Amino acid sequence: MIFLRACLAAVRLNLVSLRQRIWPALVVVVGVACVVATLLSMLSMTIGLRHTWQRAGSPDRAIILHATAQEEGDGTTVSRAEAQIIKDAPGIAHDAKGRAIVDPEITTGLVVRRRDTGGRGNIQLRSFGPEALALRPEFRIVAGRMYQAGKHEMVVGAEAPGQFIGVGLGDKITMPDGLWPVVGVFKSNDDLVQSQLVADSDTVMPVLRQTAYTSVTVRLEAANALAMLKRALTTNPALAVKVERQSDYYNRRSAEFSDLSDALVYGVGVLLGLGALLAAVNILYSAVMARRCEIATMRALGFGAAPVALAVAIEGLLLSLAGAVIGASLAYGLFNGVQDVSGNVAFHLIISPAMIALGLAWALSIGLIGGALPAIHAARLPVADGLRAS
Amino acid sequence: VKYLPLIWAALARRKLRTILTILSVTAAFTLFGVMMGTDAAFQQLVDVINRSVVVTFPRFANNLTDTMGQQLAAMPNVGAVSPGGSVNGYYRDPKLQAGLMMVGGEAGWPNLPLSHAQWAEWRARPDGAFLSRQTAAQWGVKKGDIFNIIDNTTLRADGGKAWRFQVLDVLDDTPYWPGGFSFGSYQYFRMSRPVADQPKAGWFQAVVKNPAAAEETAIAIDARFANSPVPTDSISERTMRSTSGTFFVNVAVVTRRVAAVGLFMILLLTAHGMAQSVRERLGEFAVLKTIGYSDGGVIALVFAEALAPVILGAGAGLGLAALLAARIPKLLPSLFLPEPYLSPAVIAQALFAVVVLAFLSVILPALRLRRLDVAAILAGRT
Repeated sequence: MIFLRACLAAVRLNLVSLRQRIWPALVVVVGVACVVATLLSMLSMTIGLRHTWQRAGSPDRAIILHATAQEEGDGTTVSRAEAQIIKDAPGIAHDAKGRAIVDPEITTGLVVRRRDTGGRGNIQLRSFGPEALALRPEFRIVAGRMYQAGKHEMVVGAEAPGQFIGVGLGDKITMPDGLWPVVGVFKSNDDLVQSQLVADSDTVMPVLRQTAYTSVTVRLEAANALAMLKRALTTNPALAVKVERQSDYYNRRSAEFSDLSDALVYGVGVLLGLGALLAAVNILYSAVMARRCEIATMRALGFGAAPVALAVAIEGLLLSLAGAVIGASLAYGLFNGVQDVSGNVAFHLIISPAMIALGLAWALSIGLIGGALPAIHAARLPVADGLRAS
Repeated sequence: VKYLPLIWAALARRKLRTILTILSVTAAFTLFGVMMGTDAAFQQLVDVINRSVVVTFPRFANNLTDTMGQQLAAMPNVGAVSPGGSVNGYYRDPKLQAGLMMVGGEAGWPNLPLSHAQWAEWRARPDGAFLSRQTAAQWGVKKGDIFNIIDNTTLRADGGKAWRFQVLDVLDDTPYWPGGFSFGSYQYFRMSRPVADQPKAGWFQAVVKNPAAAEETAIAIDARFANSPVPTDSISERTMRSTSGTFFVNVAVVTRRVAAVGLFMILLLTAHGMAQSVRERLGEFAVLKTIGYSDGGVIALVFAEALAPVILGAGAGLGLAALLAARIPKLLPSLFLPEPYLSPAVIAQALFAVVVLAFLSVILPALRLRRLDVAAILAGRT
């Protein structure tokens, strides 16, 4: 009890004297704020982009690609005949009219102008078959209307007009046979499809002179129907396809860039953190040196070494906590929800509570490690020397 | 020179503080070196590109035809035109993606590092391939080896999927292709395809006579074919490269921002350190002034004192960055990050940052020293 009170008193003395050491304290606070803000702003990019990819995948859908395909749209195709066989495979859900919920699609790039640089950009055009809406319940028109099958028209994802010029509602898109009007705007669970154009498969394919699909996506009858579907399709000698749960597919694809960019982000975070840590040690150490006399007086009055050391450590923690709060609020205010573009996928920067917690943890470890050495030094100051030091 | 012992004495007096300052400056400049080096490496990718090449792709997913090559060559400002194609698939294992660029000849490919003798060999051996060291190591092949690429997307006249090549030579890597390169002959590519596909080219490389007008020529080409059965999408190779660096995120913006944050932190630290150091030693400076040191001399002394740890830390940091640089592409292979390049420009920027840091951090202490009331301090009245 006495120990606790001694600690509290020592901490209070420290904090009161902080007012005279406001500039050095601010250096620690601003330094930690810089680290946390940088870490969070870089994380917001990789995590925001990863979410946009992962939201496109659903565990109750499966994507079927050519057996050697690495990704959708890499040049490999699934033929019309193969798509027809897939429709009869077991494990696939059926709609109210008894039709298999199977959607063969093509994706292709169209040349448009980027809004940020005004230069050449590439927007993805995805084609939907008649079962696409049963397959994708998240797809909904928010302005204008849906395209009519057979008509030369398309709809655009809500994120696309922000990144490309001339792809908004009412604009016309250059296709090989002329200009196709954009008649509607859709949202799709804020995933990457929401950065694309969508048109009717049977209308688009002859115009683009495409005879085969780039992917076939199906709704699974049940979450565990994947194995059955996979066995049926991969053992059929008439097919050369591979089957993957759609959520796994998008997780795998996003991991290709995000695992490594995470490594980069944390690398930068560690290096910057190290700089701030050394700065904190430096400044807390100077603070201890400056308060030599005060500390010695406290010791002479009967304060133990532990409360004195603890007070220094707590000061380090509090300063870095303040820095973390400032840095995290800065990052949140500046970046949360801001639209960014990676390749042809628009995404929103995310600063989630978990990320803020990570920032706090990062800052507190800087404060803890940074405060430890000076705290030990404070505890070991010879009292007699300190009293003479004024 | 006469100041050196004074500077040394000042730094050595607070050994721990000096060491900590140097270490934190080291961390900041390691970051600076890696970040600005990455930035410079991306810039270098753009700079090594020949300004005179314009690339023409089909605008939609249909193939260009050979006759378009002749029409291209007849356009103003266009010199040699050469078709290109690609064989893309895998070698040995479906997971080992492999591909070759099938090039139409030396006229359209001024960036390929081949001698005249090697071009002659390339012409004589249609199924020959040239690989960079990096690519040859990835695939595990050496000079003289025969290898098959399995390509599922390009039809062959014989109905097969295997494209057979023989390695004519393994060449040094060039900064032009940081990820390695591999190429074969377009003639082989063309003759192996079904008759109906033979006139279809993947893209054209046009060498323009006036590189300054490359962008305008690209626009003119697209206008020329806008209403043809095969609309084109042309771009100067330089522009194409300079925008592909933004594939993941705008790398330049991120790297520069991070480098700036690191420097800002160090500025705060050194500024605080100098202010404190000067405050503690006002008496000394008063003595220096009394024995005849000028204002400028004293301020120069403080400046040098600020500069020394920053220079040491910056040197160590850039050294560390150079060590790290060689490992970064191996640590992060699929990020397509080039090896950070500590170009003379980056070193110059670092030096500039060092001087600015030292300068900014002594402004306030210097003002204080100029207004120093020598008599009051020596009398102990402060």
